[in-house]
Amino acid sequence: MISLGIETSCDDTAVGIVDGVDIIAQVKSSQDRVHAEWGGIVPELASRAHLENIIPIIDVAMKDAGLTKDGIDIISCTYGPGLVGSLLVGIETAKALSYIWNKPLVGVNHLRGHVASAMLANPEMELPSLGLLISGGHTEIIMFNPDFTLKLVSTTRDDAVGESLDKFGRVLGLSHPAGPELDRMSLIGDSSKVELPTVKLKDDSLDFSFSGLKTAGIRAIQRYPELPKSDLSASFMKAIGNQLFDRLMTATVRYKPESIFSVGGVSASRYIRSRLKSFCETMNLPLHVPPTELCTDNGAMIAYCGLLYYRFGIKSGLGLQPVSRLPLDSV
Amino acid sequence: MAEISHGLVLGIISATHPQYVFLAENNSILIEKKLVRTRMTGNRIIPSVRSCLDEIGCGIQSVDTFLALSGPGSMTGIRVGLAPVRAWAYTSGKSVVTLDTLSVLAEGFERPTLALMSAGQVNWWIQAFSGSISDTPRLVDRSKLYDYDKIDWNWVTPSRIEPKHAKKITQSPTPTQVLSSMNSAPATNWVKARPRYLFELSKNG
Repeated sequence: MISLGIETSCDDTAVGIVDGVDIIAQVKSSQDRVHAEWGGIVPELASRAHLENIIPIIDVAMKDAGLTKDGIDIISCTYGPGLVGSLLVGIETAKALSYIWNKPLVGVNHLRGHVASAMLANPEMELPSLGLLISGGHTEIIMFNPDFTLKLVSTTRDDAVGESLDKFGRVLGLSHPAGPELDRMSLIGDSSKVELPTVKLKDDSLDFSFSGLKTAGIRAIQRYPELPKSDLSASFMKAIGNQLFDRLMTATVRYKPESIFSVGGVSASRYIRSRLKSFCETMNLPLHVPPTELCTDNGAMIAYCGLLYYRFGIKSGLGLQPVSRLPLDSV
Repeated sequence: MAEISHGLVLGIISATHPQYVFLAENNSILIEKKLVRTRMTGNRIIPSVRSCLDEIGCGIQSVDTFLALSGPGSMTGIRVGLAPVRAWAYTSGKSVVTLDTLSVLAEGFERPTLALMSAGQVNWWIQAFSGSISDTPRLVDRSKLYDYDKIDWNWVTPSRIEPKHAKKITQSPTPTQVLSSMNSAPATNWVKARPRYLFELSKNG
C-alpha cells in the first residue's frame, strides 16, 4: 500500500511517499534562510513559505516516485501538534488532494510520526521499546508497546531540549538554527572547562527541566568570554546529555524494555548518537536510531504513520482541523 | 472590455468574513454557501465545496476554472482558499483566476469609491476608484484615510471605521461581486495563484 505523507507542522515543508516500509520519495524544503535573520521561527513567514512550497514539493515527490494519482492509495498529513498557520496549509492541501483523487485521508499526530520513523528505519525493532523523542519542541521518554500503543513515561516541565540548544547557541552567536553547529563544535571542544549542573527534580520524577540549565549555560558564556565557543558548546552538550541519560537509565531499569530508540531532530546530533551507543552497550540492549534525514521533520514518517493508522481502521474526513497542542496519547 | 468565458467556475471567498463557496456558469450563480464565522470556519470550506457540487450533480472534475481572492484580508483566510485552489488546479491542469479583495469590494458601486480594509492596529489597505481609473492598493496609516473623506465619495468596507463626510457601506465581498469582477479577469495557472498585498514584518513590532 502506497501512502503520500505531507508534513508542515513547523518550518519544513516535507512530502514523502512510502510503499510499506520502503521509502520511494522523500523531498523537503527547509526554511532556515527565511527565519535566520529573525533568530527564530516566525509563524507568519513559515505559513507563507509552506503555501509557496507545498505543490512544487508534491510535484517533485510524485516524479521521483514515478507515480501518478492512480498509484497513491492514501493521503496522510500532520494535523498536530504544531503551528496552526503552518498545519493549515498542509491539511487543506491534503484534503484537496483526497477529494479530487478520491483517496482516503488520514490525519497523523506528528509525535507519533516521529516514533513511527524508528520502525520505518528498523521494521524488526524489538518491542516493547523505550525511547527518547527529542526535538526543538518536544522532550519525552516514550514506551512503544508490542500492541503498537504508546505510553508517555516522562516529559519536560519547561523548555524542550532542542529549544534550549537553539537559545544557548543564539547567545553564543550562532545563526538559527544553532543546534547542528553547536553539535559540531561540541565534538571538538573540551567539556571539562565549565561544569554545568545535571538537573534533578525534587520529586524524583523522570520528567526533564532544561530552563535552569539553559540559564546556567548563558551565564557561563557571559562569565567566561575568553573560552572558545567549542569548549562552551561541549560543556553545554554534556550537561544536556547527562540529564537525558540520567532519566533514560532510571526508566530503562524500571520498565525493562527489549530495545532503546531515539527519534526527533536532536537525535540527529552526533554527540547524542555517540552517547546512545555507549548507553546501549552498557545496558546490553539493541539501539534503534533512524538515519539523520528521518530524525528531522520529514514526510516519509508521516506517510508511514498514516499507513499504520489506516491499517488499524483510522481515517479522517474533509472536516479535519489542525490541533496546535496535540498530546502524544491522542491519535 | 470583452467578457471572458470561464466555463463552470468554483469560487472561494475566504479573505474576509463571512466566507462563501459558490459555483457559477455563464455569468449566473448556480449555488452559493455562506459560512458564518466560527473559530475554525476555514475547515468547512472543502466540505462546502463538496456539498455545492453534490447539489448540482457535478464532480470536481467538471470545474473549468478555480477562483480565489488573493488579498488583502485575513492571511489565514487567504491561505485556506488558495491552498485547495492551487492543489486542484495543479492536479487537473485547469485554470485559476485570482482577484484582489479591494477591487471586488468596490464592484458595482458608483464612482468615486474607496474600498478599504483594516490591516490591524493603525494600518489600512485602501484602493481608490475614481471614474474609470483605479489607484493601486496601498497600505496607509489611519490618519491618511481622511484625505479621502469627501462628501461625494462611497466608502465600502467590512471593517469598522466612521467617515465624517463620505457615504459608508459596510459589507464583505459577495459571490455576485466576485462574478462581476471576474468577467474581465484573465485566467492563469496554479503557479501564479499566490497571496498578494502581504504586509512586511517589522522587527520593531
